[in-house]
Amino acid sequence: MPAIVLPFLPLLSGVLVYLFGRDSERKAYRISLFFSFLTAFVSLLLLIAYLREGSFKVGLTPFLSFYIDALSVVMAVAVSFISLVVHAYSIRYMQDDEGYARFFALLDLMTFSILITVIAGNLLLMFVGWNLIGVILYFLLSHNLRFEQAHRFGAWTFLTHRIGDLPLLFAILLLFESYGTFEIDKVREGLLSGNVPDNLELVGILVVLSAFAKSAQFPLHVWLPYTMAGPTPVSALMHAGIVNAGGFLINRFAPVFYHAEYGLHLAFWVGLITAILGSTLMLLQTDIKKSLGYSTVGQMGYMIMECGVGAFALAIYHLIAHGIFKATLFMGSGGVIHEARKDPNIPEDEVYSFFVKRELPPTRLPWIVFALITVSVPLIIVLLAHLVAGVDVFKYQGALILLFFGWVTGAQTIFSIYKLGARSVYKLLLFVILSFSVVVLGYVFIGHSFEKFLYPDKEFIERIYHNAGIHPTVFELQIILLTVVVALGWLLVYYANQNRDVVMPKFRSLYVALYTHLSRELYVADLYEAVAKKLTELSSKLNRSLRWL
Amino acid sequence: MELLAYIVCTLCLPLFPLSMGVSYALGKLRGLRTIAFLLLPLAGFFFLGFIEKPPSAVLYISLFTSLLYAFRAVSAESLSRWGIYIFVSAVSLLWLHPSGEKSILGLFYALPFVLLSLSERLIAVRFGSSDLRLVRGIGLGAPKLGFITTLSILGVIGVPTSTTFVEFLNLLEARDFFRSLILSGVWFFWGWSGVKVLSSIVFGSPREDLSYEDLNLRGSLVLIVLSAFVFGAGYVFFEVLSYLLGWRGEL
Repeated sequence: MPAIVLPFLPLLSGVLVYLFGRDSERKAYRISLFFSFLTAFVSLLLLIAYLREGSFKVGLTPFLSFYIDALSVVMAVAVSFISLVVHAYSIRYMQDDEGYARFFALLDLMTFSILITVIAGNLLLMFVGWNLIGVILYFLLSHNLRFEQAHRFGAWTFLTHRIGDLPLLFAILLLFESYGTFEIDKVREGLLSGNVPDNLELVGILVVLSAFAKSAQFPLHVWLPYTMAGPTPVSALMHAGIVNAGGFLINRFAPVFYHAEYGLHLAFWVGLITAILGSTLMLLQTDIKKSLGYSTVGQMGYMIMECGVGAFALAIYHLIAHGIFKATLFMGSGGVIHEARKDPNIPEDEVYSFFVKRELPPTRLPWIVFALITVSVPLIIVLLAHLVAGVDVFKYQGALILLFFGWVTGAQTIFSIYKLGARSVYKLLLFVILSFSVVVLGYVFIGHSFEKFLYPDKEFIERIYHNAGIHPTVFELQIILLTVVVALGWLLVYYANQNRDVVMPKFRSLYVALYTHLSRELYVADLYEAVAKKLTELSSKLNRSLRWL
Repeated sequence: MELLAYIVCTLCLPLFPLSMGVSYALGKLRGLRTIAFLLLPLAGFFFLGFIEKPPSAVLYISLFTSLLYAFRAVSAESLSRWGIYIFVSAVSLLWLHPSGEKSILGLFYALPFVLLSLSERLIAVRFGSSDLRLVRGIGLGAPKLGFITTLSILGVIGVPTSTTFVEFLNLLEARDFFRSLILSGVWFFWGWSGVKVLSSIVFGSPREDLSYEDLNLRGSLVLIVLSAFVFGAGYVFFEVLSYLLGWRGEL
């Protein structure tokens, strides 16, 4: 029963808000908030039902059927609660907006679409939800009808999602050709029974391509950081819920990757590029919301990369954790901007000073001490955490890659402490190491528990890890090479820091050029603009020559 | 009979270069365009039933026609022109349907265009034109009309569960790469041109020199019911499909 009711509560709320809430803000938010509470409550009931009965399928009609498993329950609970928080936040944030009721109705419709996507028991129904997410997001981003820039970037979003919908549609049709059904449980059974169609690798690739568009992966990432013209609650919902859809999709199609591996390799490489690019571009932003936008791009890259190494459950944990902290950051960003407007002393951009002005903060500690701490401590913590959790980190290539990332992230954190040039550096360092240990331990423990909850069949997940792997010798060589490069990189940075210069003078112009290109976001958005302009001109020319024909 | 069927079909489900004549005629029809949008696919589908299997050249021309008009829609200057381009683009694709499907489906695919045509007429009557450079801000100036126009545009560009979406889904052949590629292009251009039209005519601040008269209750209800048909018919299609598949599975 909760499964049938759950997605229709926000739909009903959206209709009621639009019909009865247009004359009164109070009425609009009361209806919407009441149904949001109810949706969150019903999602908890669904969780309880799952814990009691295990996976089940329930259908209102042959098309409107819902497949309840660990993945759909976890996602439904996360989406319902994030939606509730965003609803509550919007009550005052959107006050006196001329489209107040419309906004709440759209927010409800968005919750409906996401819920339909995550609990659908029919691939076509899932596609309907998946497609509607892009459509409703367009209207939410363009909510301020007078703001032209919002419409422009809303349209970018719509088109990126529309492009990304096609691979999923093709994947669904290919699976239908093979199994003669759209029902998720039957397709799953077919895949796991060993009856594998010859084009399954293509299906895997199509699924990850579709995930790339929703999760803003390179080169389809541009829509995400540019959609800051929309209302802040929409940004919060978008970054906390919508962009995570890519990770969900790959998990939903996990049985495909039980047999197919190319899609996983593609996910790994694209995720890796996106993670590096997103994080780098984040550092260069001067606008807090855009910076958060690129931070999400980086995080999504990391999440997709986790899928690419076979750590499917970890990706789900990541998307939920990221959703919570990013929603908090967005909803807090308004206050930060408000405070900053009161304070005229805007600090100079740190990255600009580092690259162009070559100004480095003072430090009194020997560089070699910090270099060794930076390189060794995070590695020890990450290894110890896995040891404590009882996870055999050396068994899977995927786990090793994530360990590698954990190490680099920890080292980056310690380096930023060094750069701060604080008075009590060691005290601060101790706090950071303690926090890092807690985060890593939490990540490893919760990630591990999540894996047991989402994928209780150990053989299944081991097979996916195996499919995500590459030849052991090539892998080990890559890891050794990267370790050497990273360790040497840190040493070079510390050495340069000690000598009061970022890089050797002959590389200075190269660094400035790099900064310039990165600050233009590698011209990806410019390229899209140029192509769109050319196509519009061509279409205009064609219409002029054919006139009314 | 087959020859006659070919002649009627090429006019009702226009193929390039005959599509130019159809496009011109639809532009001139104005008030009767709604009826033309309804009758052309209906008649076209009916006569398509008399053609055994169109030669592959005809299928390629239909794909080309669809892509050409979808691309032209990107820079359409008025809602009426945009509607005509998308109509020609969508209807020319009906040639790809397997033979044997009967005329009722023509009505099914005509519905979104009927709704669009009615919305366009309502705008043209109020503002004297549906030119995208002249009319804007309907969403704020006349919210009910803006809502219906939005629904009609979404229906035409194939947002689920509109009948246009069902048509698109029916025509996809995942294993035919060329056909899939062209249809993907058509799908993209429909969407792109659709959001451009929305941004121009529904979004934006209302013009102070224009008088925005919204729909009355009766008009709104009629159009809401028609919109429900546009999106509901697609939903019913999915229900029937899922039911039939389930029934087949039980056998």
